[in-house]
Amino acid sequence: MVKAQPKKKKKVDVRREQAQKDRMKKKIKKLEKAAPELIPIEDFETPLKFSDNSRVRSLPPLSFEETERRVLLMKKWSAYKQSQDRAEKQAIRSLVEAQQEALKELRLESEELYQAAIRRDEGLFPFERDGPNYTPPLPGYDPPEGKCIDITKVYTQ
Amino acid sequence: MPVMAVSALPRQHKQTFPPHSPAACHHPSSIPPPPSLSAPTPPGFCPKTPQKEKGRAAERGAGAEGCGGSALGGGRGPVRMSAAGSKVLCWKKGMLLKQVFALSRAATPQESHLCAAGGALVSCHRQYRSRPTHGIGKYKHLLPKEVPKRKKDKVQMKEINAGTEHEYGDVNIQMTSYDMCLVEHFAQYVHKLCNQLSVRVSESYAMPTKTNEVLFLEERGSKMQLDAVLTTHQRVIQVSRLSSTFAPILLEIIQSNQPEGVHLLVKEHTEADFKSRLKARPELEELLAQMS
Repeated sequence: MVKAQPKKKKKVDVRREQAQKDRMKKKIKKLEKAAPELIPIEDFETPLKFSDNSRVRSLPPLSFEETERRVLLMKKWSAYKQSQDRAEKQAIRSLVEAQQEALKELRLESEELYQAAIRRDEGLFPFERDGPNYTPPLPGYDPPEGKCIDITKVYTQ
Repeated sequence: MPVMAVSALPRQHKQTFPPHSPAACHHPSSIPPPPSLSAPTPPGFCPKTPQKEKGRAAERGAGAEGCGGSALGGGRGPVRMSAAGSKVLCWKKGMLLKQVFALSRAATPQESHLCAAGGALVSCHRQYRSRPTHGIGKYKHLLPKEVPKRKKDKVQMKEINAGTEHEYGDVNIQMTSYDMCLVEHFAQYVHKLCNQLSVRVSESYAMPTKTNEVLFLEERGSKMQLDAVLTTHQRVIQVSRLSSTFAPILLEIIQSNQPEGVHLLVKEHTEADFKSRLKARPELEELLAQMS
């Protein structure tokens, strides 16, 4: 009697544990079968209040001089932007040319240094930079105390 | 109608036609029939017996399917012509000429599958296996094999390119800002720039938007007041196979054109970056934790 009971317990436990494990494995397989989904991006969903077509803006008709002025202004602006873009492309080209020439000269100087220069820079990435500001920070500004709470919607599959 | 036809088919089949005649019923639709069958009698001329007239009205709709269905069965055996069956055959022919288009249109999915399987002509012939022209018109076996396209493309991670000594692997250019239009326009600009400079852009996507509530403490009082709700938008442009000499130049250009309020981060692509785009699966994670 004393010997039989612990044996039963062991078998039953082992069986139960195995059954539990199998059940868990089956569940895991089922869940893994479903492909992972991307989180939907709120930026690309237009809010419902803008889908109402009843609100229409009515603009007054423009005079001939006004339209002419606008067209000519647009032409001047596009010409200015084009020259800006051309200058930028020229700058890029000159940068690349200068770099190639420098590398050529370096190669003539010493092959070792050239090979070291050609290699990729491990310290380049990660590279972080904040955009420029409109105004410099105010001196002696005392901000009020507060906190930031993250209320991003968490999507679960 | 088609359902009726299928159920009507076997009954009509046994009543009106001798066993081998339906096998010949496709002749007028496609291949010129053998001279023994059609030459003496013009199509459409058939001695109408009262038996056949009864079944005719119901047959009109069923005949197409009947012939189609029976052709599959009849095609297995060779064609057997007999003078006795010729009358029945010509009646069948006459009806078929009207029904031939109905057949091709009303073909059941099974039949059309079989027709398309070997790449045979659309008007589902039977196979003349004893003739040397067996399999004429088949072309699908000559085309290269197409991988069946899945309707839902599984969101799988693309292999991360490690890069060689002279080339960087997948590099992420992440632009973050509170202003959505600005960050989108900047992302478009960077993408166009990379296209112009023939830098390969492997992916260009948006990260999920983060929302923050900013509360501040009032001057006189202990209550936190809501100041604003700010949304942070992030756009990512993934660039691959960037050469080691050109990378600093590209960085320089992007920096010089960086607008106000846009935070730039350039780093290498990792699996963690990809996983952050996917939905969380708490159940799966729980179970996996329990397992281990």
